[in-house]
Amino acid sequence: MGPAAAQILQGLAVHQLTPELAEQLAGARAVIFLDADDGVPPGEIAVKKIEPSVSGAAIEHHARPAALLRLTREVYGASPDAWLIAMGGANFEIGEGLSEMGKRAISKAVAEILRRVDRVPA
Amino acid sequence: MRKITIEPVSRIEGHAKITIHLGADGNVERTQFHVTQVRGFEKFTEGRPYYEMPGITARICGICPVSHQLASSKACDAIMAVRIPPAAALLREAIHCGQMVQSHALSFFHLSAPDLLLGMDSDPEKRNVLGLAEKHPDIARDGIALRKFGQTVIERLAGERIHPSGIVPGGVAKPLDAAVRDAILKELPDARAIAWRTLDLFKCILDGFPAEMANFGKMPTMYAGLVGNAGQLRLYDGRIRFRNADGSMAAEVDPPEYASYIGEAAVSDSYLKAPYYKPLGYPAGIYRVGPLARLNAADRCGTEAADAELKEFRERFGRMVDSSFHYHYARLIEAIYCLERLQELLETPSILDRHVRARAEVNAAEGVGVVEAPRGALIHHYKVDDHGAIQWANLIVATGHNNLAIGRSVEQVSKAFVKGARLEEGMLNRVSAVVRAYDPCLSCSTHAAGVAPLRIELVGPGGELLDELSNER
Repeated sequence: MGPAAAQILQGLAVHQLTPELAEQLAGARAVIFLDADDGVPPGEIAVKKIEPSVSGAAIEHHARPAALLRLTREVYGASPDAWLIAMGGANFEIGEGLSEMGKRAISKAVAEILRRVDRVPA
Repeated sequence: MRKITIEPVSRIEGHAKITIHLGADGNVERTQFHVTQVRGFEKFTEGRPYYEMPGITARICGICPVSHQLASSKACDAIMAVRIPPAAALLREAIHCGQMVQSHALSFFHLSAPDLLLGMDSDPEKRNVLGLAEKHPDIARDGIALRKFGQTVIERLAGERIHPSGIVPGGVAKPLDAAVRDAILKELPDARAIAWRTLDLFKCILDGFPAEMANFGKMPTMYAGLVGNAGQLRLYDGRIRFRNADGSMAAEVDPPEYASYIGEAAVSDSYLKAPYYKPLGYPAGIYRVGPLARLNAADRCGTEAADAELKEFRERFGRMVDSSFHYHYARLIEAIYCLERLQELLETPSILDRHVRARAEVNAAEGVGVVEAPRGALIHHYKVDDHGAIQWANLIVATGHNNLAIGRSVEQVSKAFVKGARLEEGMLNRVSAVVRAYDPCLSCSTHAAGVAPLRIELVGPGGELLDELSNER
């Protein structure tokens, strides 16, 4: 779902969050992370403001956006505004294509991002 | 007998567990290194067309997919019985240099530097890449930049940073444009500067680790690595050289003959097989692979700056460097070599030739492809039917070769640093750190064919063994 949304918005689709992304985040005014989440009702989205992590949760195989933001701040001195938009999927089994619920969540996520982008100061 | 378990082993690729058995006196009696995952690629690729194998086996790993694609493509080249165009060989090796640089950068900066620069006994909450960035932002920035450079080389030459599509049977998917070549050459000086200053920094801090140098897998073993016709370090092509612990030559083997020299033993407490040098049998035929082993096996690197560093390395530690702590040093020398070699390759005019792929049908019933992955020799061996469907596949993956050595290193470190009467976190961190020195890729290395040995123990609340079930015969 994340890559599909990123493709609509011409954003960055990655397998996982890696330290190399910190350099790109450092050059941004705002960052929006997009990911599927089985804890969000199918077809819905949940938006959460993300702050750089305080504790020592490191970047290894399952980097969190908060850890990446902290790395960006420590290495580049930059702290872009950041949000996580979690998209509720319906079916997480191996398969092909997106469900109607998945597409609905993507559509809502894209609309939310466009709304927020309009509000990011220049 | 008391038991200490380190699970998971942190800051490595893949999943592992270490069990330390203490005697009644609290001292370490023995240790076990368990790799707790099985991948099974050797089995589920049976029936697939051989030309799918580079794409399939690339998915074994997200850190070293290029290595798998190269070894797999070379095995496919042999099945097709083709000699790939010279430009394709240059491009494959250039992609491989990018792969080595990004992988070595990940290992040093993100996985091991927290121990080396913050201290083995430092606060574990901060002993990670974030803690490193907080205390040494410049070094963290260098690590990000160097890894990014390697990934960008892969992306530009092979299509994508991870699981690239441009390495194919018969060669590469597309020729190189001069503009792309020039873009990489323009960025090379900065990458080389990072590699040099990182090695300089490491040489300065080395004397702070006398106990680690003396106990992190300091032991006599054989060493194996690819070498060229003049005995120089080779990563993409060459013959497999086995050198004894005392530096004498044991064997030099054409890759298709590997099975005459490398056997594989299944072990009962891990999904990772244990390769060994066949003429000496198991487990006497223990050998190491990877950066330290490659520098021990080769006569020289073959590029100017790397050879100067190698000379200093050998003057300091001897011709055959036998402590696994020095994998870190060797890794940084290799990063310099790869950057120099990348420049040589890109400055070869014929790398721009438009002929980059040979095409053919199945012309041989089996093929073997061997490259040096960042962590050591990587072997892909396939057998196909007349239609090219995989009948049998054997993958001996870099980290697997080091299984015996890692196990013995864990035991040596445990005995040196873990004192059961008083356990301290730094002691256990050192046990994990010796595993990290090998930069293992455990997800890559477990492809047990057939039945994986499995024992299930039912343990009561008091730790007593109630029952056990095993498929071992």
